[in-house]
Amino acid sequence: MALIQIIVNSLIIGSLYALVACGFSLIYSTNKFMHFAHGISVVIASYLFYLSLNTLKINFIISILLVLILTGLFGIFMYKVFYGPLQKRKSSNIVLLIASVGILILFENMIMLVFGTTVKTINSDLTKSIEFSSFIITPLQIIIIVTSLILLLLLYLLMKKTKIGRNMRAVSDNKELASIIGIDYKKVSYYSFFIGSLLAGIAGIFIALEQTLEPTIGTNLIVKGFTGSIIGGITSVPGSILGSYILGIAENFGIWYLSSGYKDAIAFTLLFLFLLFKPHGILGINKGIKK
Amino acid sequence: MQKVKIFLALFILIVLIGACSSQNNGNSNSQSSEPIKLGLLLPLTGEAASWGQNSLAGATLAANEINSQGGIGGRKIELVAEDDKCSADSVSAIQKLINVDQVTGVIGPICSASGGPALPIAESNGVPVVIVAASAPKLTEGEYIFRVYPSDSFQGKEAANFIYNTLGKKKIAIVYVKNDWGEGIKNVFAPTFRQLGGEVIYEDGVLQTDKDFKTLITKVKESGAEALYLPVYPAGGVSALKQIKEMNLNIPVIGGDAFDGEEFFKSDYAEDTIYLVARVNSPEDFKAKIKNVKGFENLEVAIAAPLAYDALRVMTEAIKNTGSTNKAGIKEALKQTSINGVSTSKIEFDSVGDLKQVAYDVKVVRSKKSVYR
Repeated sequence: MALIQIIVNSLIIGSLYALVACGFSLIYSTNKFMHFAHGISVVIASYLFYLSLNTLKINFIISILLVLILTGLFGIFMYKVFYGPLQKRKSSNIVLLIASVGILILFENMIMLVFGTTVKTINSDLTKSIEFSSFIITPLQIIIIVTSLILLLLLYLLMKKTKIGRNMRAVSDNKELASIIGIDYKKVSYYSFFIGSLLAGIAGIFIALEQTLEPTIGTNLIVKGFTGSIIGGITSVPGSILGSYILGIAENFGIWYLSSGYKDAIAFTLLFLFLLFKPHGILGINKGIKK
Repeated sequence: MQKVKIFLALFILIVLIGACSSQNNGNSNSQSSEPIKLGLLLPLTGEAASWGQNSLAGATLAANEINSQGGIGGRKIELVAEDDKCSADSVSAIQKLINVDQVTGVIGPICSASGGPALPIAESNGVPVVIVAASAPKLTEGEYIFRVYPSDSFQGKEAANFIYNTLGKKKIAIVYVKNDWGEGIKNVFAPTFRQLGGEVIYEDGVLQTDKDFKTLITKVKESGAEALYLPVYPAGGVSALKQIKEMNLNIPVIGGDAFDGEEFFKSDYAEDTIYLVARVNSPEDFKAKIKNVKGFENLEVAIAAPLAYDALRVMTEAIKNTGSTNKAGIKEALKQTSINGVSTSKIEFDSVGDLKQVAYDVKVVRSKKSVYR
């Protein structure tokens, strides 16, 4: 009885982690720096959704579309205003990493200023539970799992079958070579930031509906997304998705056998083990000189 | 070079102006003899700023009242306020109060996070402190530390009594937030509940950042608990209650005083949740008096004002009883002092330095409002 429930719980949280992780991994693979501010895209999406739905009383579907577009544009904004100029100055990836943490804190504080620090909730009809013989799930949670899986499949197809996807993979493989054959890697960066942030936007909307809103949730989410990416292989988008589900399962079984308080410890232990013994993750590829 | 000179000149000017203005303050307060300096260690800015401003207002009102009656033995009370930002900045703030201002006693802090690092400094320097609102049980461990706000340990005890005797639930699950506050409550709750004859059937701590409790709730469900005691913060609490409803865990949920805020009971999922909160009075005529204090006309008066008012009064009463500003003497006097408070009817300290008598209210959320149960 409990076993199936735990697997369901793992899938729900794994889907949320996967949505964060695949955007992060997409941006990493085309730009080759850690965009930790990705976490704030999720938070901004949830607060925009709250603003649109609860304060401005805009229709549910329109709110979703609005938030997704705005979050995607926010991704482009971050690249244009913060990372682009730094890259132009040939700043090292460490500088970009520090900048990304700075952006995360900056926008976290801006959200605190605008919305306040108190916890906010969005009430929805989608949380009336459905009871099966061996587990309980809500319609929203089914939507979360199904939508994530469809989106992740679409992302995979986008990467494999479309021209822009091919360009992204080319830039991810070798930026210089890609630009020699005429691929505009700047454009590819914009695309990756837009799509990655849009996926974060979807995660943000789901989190707003499924959990509660606080300005500081971004840090925790990006840490989990990052861990998922490392487990699966940060350079591989499908890998990061797989890694996120593994993380979800590990956390929930950890809670079942140990205690809830060890949740983050489990995530970090996994992260540490993978960094030590399999730094390129399960599906990531080891580029560079091979022995 | 020219620029440096201008800067230097400006700097000296600013320092001089600052010195003059503080000199003025000093002069206005010391008439017949040296004033008695009392330090205020409060979050004047940051997340708990409204608590800090309320405390400042309450303490100022108490000091004004005492000074208008001629002070203590002809000596006026002078307040020196320092900002601890509800954080470990309290260390430098309290060091300044003790070493530079050489205060006779300290009123504050509001936050346990500030009190934890700062109060041992007061203790080792032998400066008496009356805490206004920081509630972590450990804070009053020192000889010199007293508190006019109920310690969290009382809350655990009250909750155990309420659940066992009033609700009649004998098997309890406890899920607490892993920090000073949550663990402090749990460490008193669990043994008390067992002593009463009940069984703590499940016990687990959660991280303050955690929002996903589904597997935890599955465990509580499997444990067969008759009620759930949930001392966590509103952000986690609302998430937990939502998931408790979703997972059809139909047992009463009892929370801690952290649930006593609009952000909690305005949410859809708080309905029927019971929580215990210490009774702190804030009568209307007292609120009116606060609003008459210069500079606080527009203050939204909250419970920190009567608490700080009482803290200052109990401190000055002890100084009066000592007859001098001997700090060890004041500490001894504080142990004996008893006054009629505003926040609570009688302020007297037990052997630890906490209030002897504390009353708790049991509230329940009904139609998005908090009502007495």
